[in-house]
Amino acid sequence: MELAIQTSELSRSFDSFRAVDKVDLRVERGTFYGFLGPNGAGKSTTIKMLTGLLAPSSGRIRVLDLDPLDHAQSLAMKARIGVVPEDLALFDNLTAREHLTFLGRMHSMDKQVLRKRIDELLPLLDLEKDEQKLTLEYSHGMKKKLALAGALLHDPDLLFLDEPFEGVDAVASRTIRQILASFVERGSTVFLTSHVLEIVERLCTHVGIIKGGRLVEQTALAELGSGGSLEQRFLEVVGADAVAGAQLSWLGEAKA
Amino acid sequence: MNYSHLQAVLWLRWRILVNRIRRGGKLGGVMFGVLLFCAACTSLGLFVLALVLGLTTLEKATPFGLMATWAGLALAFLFFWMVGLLTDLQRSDSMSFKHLLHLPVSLRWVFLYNYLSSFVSFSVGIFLPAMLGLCIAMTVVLGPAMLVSIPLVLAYFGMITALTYQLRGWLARLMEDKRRGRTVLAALTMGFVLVLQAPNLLNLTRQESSRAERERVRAERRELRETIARGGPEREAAEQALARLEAQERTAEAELDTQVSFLAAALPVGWLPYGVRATHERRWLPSALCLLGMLGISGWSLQRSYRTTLDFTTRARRGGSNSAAKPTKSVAKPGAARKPSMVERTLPFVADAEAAIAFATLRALLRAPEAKLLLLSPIILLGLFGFLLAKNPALDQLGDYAPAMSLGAASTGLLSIMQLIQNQFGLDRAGFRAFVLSPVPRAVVLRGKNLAVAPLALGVGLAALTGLACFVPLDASHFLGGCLQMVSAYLLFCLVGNTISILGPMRLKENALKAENVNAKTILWQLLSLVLIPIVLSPLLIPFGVEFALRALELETALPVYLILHALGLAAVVLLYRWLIRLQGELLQAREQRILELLTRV
Repeated sequence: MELAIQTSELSRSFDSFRAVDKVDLRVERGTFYGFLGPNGAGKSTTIKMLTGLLAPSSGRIRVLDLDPLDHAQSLAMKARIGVVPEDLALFDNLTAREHLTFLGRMHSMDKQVLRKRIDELLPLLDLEKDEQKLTLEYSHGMKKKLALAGALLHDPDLLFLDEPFEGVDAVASRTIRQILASFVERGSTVFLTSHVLEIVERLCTHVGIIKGGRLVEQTALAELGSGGSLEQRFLEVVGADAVAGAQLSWLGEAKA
Repeated sequence: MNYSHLQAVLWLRWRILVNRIRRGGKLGGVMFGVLLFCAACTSLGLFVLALVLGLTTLEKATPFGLMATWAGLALAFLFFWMVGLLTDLQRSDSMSFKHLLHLPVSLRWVFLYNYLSSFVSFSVGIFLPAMLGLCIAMTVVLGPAMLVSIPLVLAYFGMITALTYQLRGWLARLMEDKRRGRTVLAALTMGFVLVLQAPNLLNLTRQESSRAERERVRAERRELRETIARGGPEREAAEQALARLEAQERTAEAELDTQVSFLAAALPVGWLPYGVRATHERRWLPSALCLLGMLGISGWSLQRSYRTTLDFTTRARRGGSNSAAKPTKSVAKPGAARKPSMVERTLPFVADAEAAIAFATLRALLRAPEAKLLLLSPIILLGLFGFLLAKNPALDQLGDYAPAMSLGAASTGLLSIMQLIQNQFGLDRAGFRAFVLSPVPRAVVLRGKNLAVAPLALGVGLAALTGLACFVPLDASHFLGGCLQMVSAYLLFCLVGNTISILGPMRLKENALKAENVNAKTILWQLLSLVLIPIVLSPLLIPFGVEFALRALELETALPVYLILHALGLAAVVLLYRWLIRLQGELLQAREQRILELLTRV
């Protein structure tokens, strides 16, 4: 079993706050891995460390058998991954086509191939009619789509997607789901975070749940057990039951 | 807004300030405290200085002198206020309407609070205490009636701030469209710079003739006095001529007084000095009219500004400002052949990724109005200094020293890229993340970034050098030597800029070159660069020194020593650049996550 991502006691602290605490991730190649957790659980911090955007405080990381903490290996790793980070990575003063051209050239892509792929990606993600606009004029959803186009452009082996469906309309969301499904079908790996559990349930083959910086569940979706839905299991794991029963004191009585 | 609202708003402002200082670290907090203390001392010092100056000098002041003093103060305040306003345009309101529209708070009061917050500024902190000090001195020296000058001063501050506050609302509407907004901002700043430089140029052109006229009158008076002192038959005629001359001067002064008084009475900016003069002359009606006029303009401006702001905010909430929702104007025609963009271009002998970085950076720079503004400044400077240089008769006497000026010409080009090269990643903003995620060696990133600013640095430098060659004696070998020196200077400057960019990056505000949340370490690095640059560039004066020494020792040769030494110097600098850029690349890779954290708050 080949692993696309493997971490060992991966931790990150911000001053006294421990955002990620000894996380041991194991993501097999060719899987669609959903990384779930409540707000502030450490999902984005983990993705940032895996992609080299943030240095871990301690622990080890292997991505596609390469060490992102080693300078030489980190560049080789970056050539093989695609990333849609939480805060995106777009240049304000470039148009969509210019941005994609720039990214393609950074990945040493052949000019003809690059042009052909951009010509396919822009209409597919419904960005063609806005390709003359600067990215600073884009809505959040359009920026997400452009970032996804940039992540897919060089045909990576592994995709890291931090909330890729946030702010994206229903039509584009369906297109993205189809793209990602075919991406995994041909043997590539997707590591995705999302708050929409229905999407994760529909797309992912494996899930990991993080709570308070600790990985509390990591399994194949089919083996999740308990016979219920992902949502039910997620709420159990993150301990939301106690909160679910809670009531606001002033809502218990009829309004005068 | 009731008392509870006011308390909440003040508490909020206080918490935001405290949290910001806390984020800046201990050293940042200390620096903020020191700055605050210095500002308080400066305000107090200026108050005392104005008071003492007023107490000692006002007794002999003529009404015209008093008006001229206040006119100077009023105009100086206006100048500083307008400079601050341009920075302020890039800043959001102290308390954004957007955050309060859904709350049961009277927006009129929030608006008033925002307006009063705008008083906390450098120009008000400097001028208000000084003017109040002068008012008190006038009251003591010229009588209690001069107390009226205090409401006049306050009304003047109210009028200027309210008028410009109204301008802010108008500009905010203009800037709804992000692209247009950036152009408006750039055009305004440039217009402001040009308007400010206009009197300077006018003064330079008129200086010669007015100086000659003053000299002529002074010489004539001296001659007449000497004739009177000598006595004799010519004395009477000389006395009459002197009396005529003095009468002419008095008439000219009276004319000036009338003209200035008329202007002061007609223009609202002059109502403060005119009002003070009228009060001094105990003419109560003009004084009261000035006061009422300024208060009226303040009230009207604030009312208009409130309506504009409210209209702008509510329209934006209804989706009026969502540019993404508007149809795009420039859609390429289907099937039409697409013109390759600048980002697709390649360069001979330059790696593809390096050329991509260079062109993408240059493309982004040429589109960013804040950068355009920066690039236009040296062109204005070139024009201004070129004009000064052309008028300077000492140029012909430069002789052997002329080649030394070529480093100055090269520096003009370097100045144009200084802010860009010393904070290369700050301008990328979120785009820097793309570099961190890229598989390209970081030395290539640095080389590409350096290459992006080469046309600007070398282009402006070459224009300056060519301009210099028109006015000073520079032969072909010295001109060529100057060109080589310019390339060496650019490479050395890039090395310093890369280091500072890596070690002291600054987060920039959107659409502006204004740094945000700068910590003490960053400030120290940026200050260090000011020391480092002259030290690093100084070896480039060696060829001039060698040539000069050879000439002084009478060891001159037919060889173009200056050109040869600069060619050797450039070769050495290229080798140094190639070696150091690798090390800087490694340093960048080691620090890129930290830089990203600083630039984007990961």
